[in-house]
Amino acid sequence: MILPCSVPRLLATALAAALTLAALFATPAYALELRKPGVLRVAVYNDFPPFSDRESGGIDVDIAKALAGKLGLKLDLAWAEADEKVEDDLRNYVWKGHYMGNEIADLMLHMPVDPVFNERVKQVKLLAPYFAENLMVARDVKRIPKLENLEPFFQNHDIGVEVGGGSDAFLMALYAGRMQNHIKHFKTHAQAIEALRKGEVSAVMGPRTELEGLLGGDREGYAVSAIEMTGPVLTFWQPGVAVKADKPQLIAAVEKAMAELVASGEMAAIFERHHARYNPPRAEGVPH
Amino acid sequence: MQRKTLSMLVAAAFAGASLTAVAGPVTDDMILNDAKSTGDVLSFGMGTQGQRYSTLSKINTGNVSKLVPAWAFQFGGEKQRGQESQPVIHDGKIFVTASYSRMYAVDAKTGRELWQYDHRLPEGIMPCCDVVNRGAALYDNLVIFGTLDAQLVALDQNTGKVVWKEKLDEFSAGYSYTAAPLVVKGLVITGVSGGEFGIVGRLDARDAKTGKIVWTRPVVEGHMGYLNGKENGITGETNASWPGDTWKTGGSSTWLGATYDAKTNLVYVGTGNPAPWNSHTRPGDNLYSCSTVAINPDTGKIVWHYQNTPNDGWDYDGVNEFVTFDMKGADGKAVRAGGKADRNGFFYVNDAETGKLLNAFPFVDKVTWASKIDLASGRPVYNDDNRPGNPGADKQGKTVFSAPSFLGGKNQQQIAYSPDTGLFYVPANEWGMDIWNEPISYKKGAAFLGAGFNIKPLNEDYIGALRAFDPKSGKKVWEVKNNAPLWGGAMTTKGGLVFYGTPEGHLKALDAKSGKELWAFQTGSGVVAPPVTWEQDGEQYIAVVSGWGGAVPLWGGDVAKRVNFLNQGGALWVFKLAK
Repeated sequence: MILPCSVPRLLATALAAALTLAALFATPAYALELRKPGVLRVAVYNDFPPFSDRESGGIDVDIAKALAGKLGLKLDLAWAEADEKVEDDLRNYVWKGHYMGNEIADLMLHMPVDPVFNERVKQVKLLAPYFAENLMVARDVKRIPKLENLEPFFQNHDIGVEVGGGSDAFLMALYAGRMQNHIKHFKTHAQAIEALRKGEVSAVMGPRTELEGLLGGDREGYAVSAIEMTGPVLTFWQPGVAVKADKPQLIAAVEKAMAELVASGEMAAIFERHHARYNPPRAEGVPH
Repeated sequence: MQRKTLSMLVAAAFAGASLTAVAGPVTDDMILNDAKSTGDVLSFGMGTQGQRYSTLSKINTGNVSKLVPAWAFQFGGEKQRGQESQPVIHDGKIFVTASYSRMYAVDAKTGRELWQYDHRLPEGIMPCCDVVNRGAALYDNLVIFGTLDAQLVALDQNTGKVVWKEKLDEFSAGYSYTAAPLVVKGLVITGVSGGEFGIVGRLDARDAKTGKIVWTRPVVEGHMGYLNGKENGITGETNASWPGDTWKTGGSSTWLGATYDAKTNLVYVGTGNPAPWNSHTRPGDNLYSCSTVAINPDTGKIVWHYQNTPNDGWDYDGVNEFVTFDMKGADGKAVRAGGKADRNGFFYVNDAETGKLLNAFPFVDKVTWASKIDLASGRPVYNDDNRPGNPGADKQGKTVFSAPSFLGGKNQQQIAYSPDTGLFYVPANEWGMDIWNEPISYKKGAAFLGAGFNIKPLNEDYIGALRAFDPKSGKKVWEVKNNAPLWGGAMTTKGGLVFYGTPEGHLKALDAKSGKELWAFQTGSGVVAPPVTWEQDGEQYIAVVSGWGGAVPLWGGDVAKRVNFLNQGGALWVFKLAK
């Protein structure tokens, strides 16, 4: 059956053509640096609550959505399996790809904005820090009402850490290893917080936002606080965005859009939605 | 009784001078006689002891120069990278695994493909250390191999169809599998590979016909072993050599597989480095990391262990193969001993029954971490200056130059032993590394204490060296240098020859007594796999897989310059004497 060539149909065709033409003229320069036209492919870590979880989403997933929205692009999430170091993740997801043949992304979130570190991975540009993160201690306040130093963990309290993480290295090396019998290792911070809730440990050390987000809205009886620390590991850092270094237009567009998300308060709202206080990035960056 | 007579008859047949292929199902007796039977290659190591020695002498020092290709078989596909596989051969068929968890059955006479199995790998899988596979095991009508997503797959030898498939562990937790399984007494024995953090090394034994688990034995103290679903005793003594709960995530991955000696009835497995990498946070020996562990296959229990690098701080995996042989003692009596060329640069000779250290000597020119291994105590004499600094005491942590590098005086490339010459043939590498603490390091979500490495060659003209050692005296009898690091295993024969491959693409034959090169053939890509030999229709054949890759191109540091021009590939080459 042949459809009659109706007037509305003709009109629609003309309109569509006009729109395409307009889109072409309006195409911002960064669009040409995208892997696929109209699509922003953003890598976020898999299994990383409260930032990015395949089922429950998270802070980074919401930021990816907001960023794609600001740039007028469709979001395509790449779920990244963490390798040993961030250098590996940047290679696997931003500038080269893994030899198993995955599709790389236009950018990756939660990458440390640190010029010293960036020198080691010149293939990418680290930019637009969107919050400040530091190591803190989440504790059961019934067991440890006040926490001024690490003394409780020399005697009768156990503290949980993520195996191989910064707090692990920090605590294991402290005072020639005198705390080692009170350090309990977990595969993830989520498991460590679960142990805290079950009373298996009195406290957990880890990045503040992770501790708060994992404790969630029902935080009665728990506190997250800082303690004085000096040691071999950075205790303060600023996550941001990694883009392949040879995409200047995309870098500029992302920088602008992310700054707007921070300035408008949208960024803080995303953190608060996931039960974490928002700690804005410091202009002076990470001190070394 | 009848059974005994039959096995005696079989044994008598194996003792015969020239035995061609035995058809039919592969039995335990056939596997135990693999080193003597010339018509097949039924196990990794050309015999479960791993000597990689053949009694064939039709190809010998006098005629090896006439060795020519019989045929070549291309793996094809878009996938190449490292090909570290040793073929196994039975009943006129060659079974060879390839990168990305593939397997091929090829007609041994013609090189014609009989079937191909492509294991379907899940999305998002990220194995750490290339996509290699080191080979398959044969049992009954099955050919069994492990995959990058940590599955053990048993295929029908005739059809390539899956008979059973078992999960070794969770690939999503970083587990993988790359070694060739070992079959002993109807059990298929495997270790684990992959996943630096949070894993614990172990050996598993399954019924080879069904894949059902029989026993599992962790190789880190404190962990429970199991036999037939029941608790079978804790490994070692909890917290004897690990502080706090660090034993729970103690590493010690068993990624290179195991050997077996019927005379001692022991399975020998090498264990990897302990975790975390900073040795100052885990004072103690950290048993049984960086060790040889001997396990009774009937009980699943550890009989002895010998630790090569106590409290490792250099990433000196102790996974290398323990190859048993008869060594004559001072009284002229032969002792069953085992030789192991460790990542840490020392060659160890232990009593295979008891683990007692009989000899230890460096097989590389430069070893910085220890001045020697004390034979009386069996322990290394450390150079304390050469342990990477304690970052707790000193924020930056000093940079130390250590040799060998963490890729080892020897890595996955297998040694060979000839009972004729009494020599071990060791594909060694001379390289060191700068190693330092990296306080400005990041991993998923956080800053952490990383380590920086840079691997450096020690000599201008070579990194690799195939070396012949007398295990009793520790004397280096000869060596042949190679520009690129050696990454393929060695094989030796009654024909007085040593065969080995190079990253530059050559398969070479040397005089086993002198090291003189007698033959070489360019295979078109780097050889990082061990050769094998067998006999069919009265002719002796040599086979080797060619295909450059593995850990060197991934980790190379300054070494990359010597290898980055090499092309990838994937082929099985077969040679025989020209008529």
